[in-house]
Amino acid sequence: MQFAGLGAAVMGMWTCQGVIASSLLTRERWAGTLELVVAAPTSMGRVLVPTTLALSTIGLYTVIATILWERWVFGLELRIESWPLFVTSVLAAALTLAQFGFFLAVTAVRYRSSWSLGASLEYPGWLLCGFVIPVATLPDWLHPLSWSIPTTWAMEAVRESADGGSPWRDLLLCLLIGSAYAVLASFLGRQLVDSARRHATLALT
Amino acid sequence: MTAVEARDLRRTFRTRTGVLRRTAKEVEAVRGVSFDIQRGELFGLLGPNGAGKTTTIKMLITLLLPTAGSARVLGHDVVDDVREVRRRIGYVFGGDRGLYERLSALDNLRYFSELYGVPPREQKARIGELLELVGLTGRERERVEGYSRGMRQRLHIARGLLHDPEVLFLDEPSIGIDPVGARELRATIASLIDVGKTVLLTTHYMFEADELCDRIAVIRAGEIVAEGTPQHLKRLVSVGSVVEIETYGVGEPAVEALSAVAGVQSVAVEERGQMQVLILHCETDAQVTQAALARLDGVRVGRVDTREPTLEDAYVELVSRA
Repeated sequence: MQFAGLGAAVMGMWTCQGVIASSLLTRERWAGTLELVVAAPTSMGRVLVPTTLALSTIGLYTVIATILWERWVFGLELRIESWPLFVTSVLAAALTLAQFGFFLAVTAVRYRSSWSLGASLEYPGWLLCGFVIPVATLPDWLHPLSWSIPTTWAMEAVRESADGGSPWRDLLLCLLIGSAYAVLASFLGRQLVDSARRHATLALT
Repeated sequence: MTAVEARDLRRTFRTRTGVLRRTAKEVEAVRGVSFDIQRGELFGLLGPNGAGKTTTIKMLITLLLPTAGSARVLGHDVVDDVREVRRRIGYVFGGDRGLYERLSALDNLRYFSELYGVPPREQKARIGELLELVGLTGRERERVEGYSRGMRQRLHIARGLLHDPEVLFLDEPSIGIDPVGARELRATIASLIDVGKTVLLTTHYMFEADELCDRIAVIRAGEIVAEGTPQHLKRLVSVGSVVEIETYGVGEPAVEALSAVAGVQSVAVEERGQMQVLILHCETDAQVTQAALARLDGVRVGRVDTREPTLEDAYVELVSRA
């Protein structure tokens, strides 16, 4: 039950970030504000990262709410051996999810239908990140895909810290992979905006 | 000094349709547009829907890459010096979209101030000045979703001016605004020129262009077909005078009969409630009134008026030429 309880807590954060981040710029496009955002002398990173960090903050609320619901409604009391490490791991999950969300969000500049990417990632993400079953039980060919998502390592760090183990290796990998997504998103942001200007996909018409 | 310079700008859109059998289609929206706008000038770009006005503006404000040709804004290339161009320009378009509906006008302006790099210390004063300029003081804390179209349009203008841009692109800013709001908007635009801004304006309203613009370019099917001052454009047309005849219940045969009158170049019918106004474009020095009235025998006729060609007459002729 401890396994499911911890997975459910982080799952809300994943859903919150993945689905909304990938549709962020699509909403701007529908509102007619995307062109104004792009036409501003500010980089896409400065627009998107604060928003995905805000989404992660809402995700932190889902972690707390899920833990409280598990305790009060379902009678599941999680055993947390090290609260400082547990909180650090959850915060690392939030930060790296914001970086991953930045990557998802930036693709929507170029492709009008990229919002569907986030929606289609939601349920596979539950399995790939090890929220509901251990990653080791997935087919071998899926392991590299799981390892390429920072949240997989964040989830491992959360479990390790709750069980009294050392989460530092998982935290390091989580932060490294998350940062790699942020750097990739910054680079792709410029390329994709140029591509959108070339292919005229910033506006609906 | 030149503020905006466009040289042989071209833009082709490629679209693909179909799922299994993909067919590509190319549309040449802008076909070699060139013009210069001097600093402090109000330049009008007129043309029918789909003529390429918005596409031209979007290339100048760096939202679209030109397929060919070049453009510079205040000396900065719109393809290579994107950041420098964006710092110096403002963009306002007409219609309901382009604002955050759930935010107040104040929060919209605060957000765009951040995006356009207005220093935090200056934001409050700047937003206050602009709200005053566009007449939204006192309503700034209301959500935009409750604003009328005119209020939204004025908020758009305030947004476009937040970072005090040197060049302003106004794409049909008065579309859908009531006459009083449109008059206020024209006064606001005219005041921008008084403080030294350069403005590129597109509009469908000829009186607006006539009243505001120093120079006008008429664009048709992606090409500029005429350029000059409003007075110059009026002289370009072949129409010598325009005769307007108010009628009640005029039929198609009578309109055809008028077209055959010597000296009449074209006849247009404008419905005004129960009345039809026949607009006869006549050759220079042609005296057609008596002959035209004779052809309307049996039709109830109201006021008959002869006037000089307006900018609208010039525009209609320019965009109608084959």
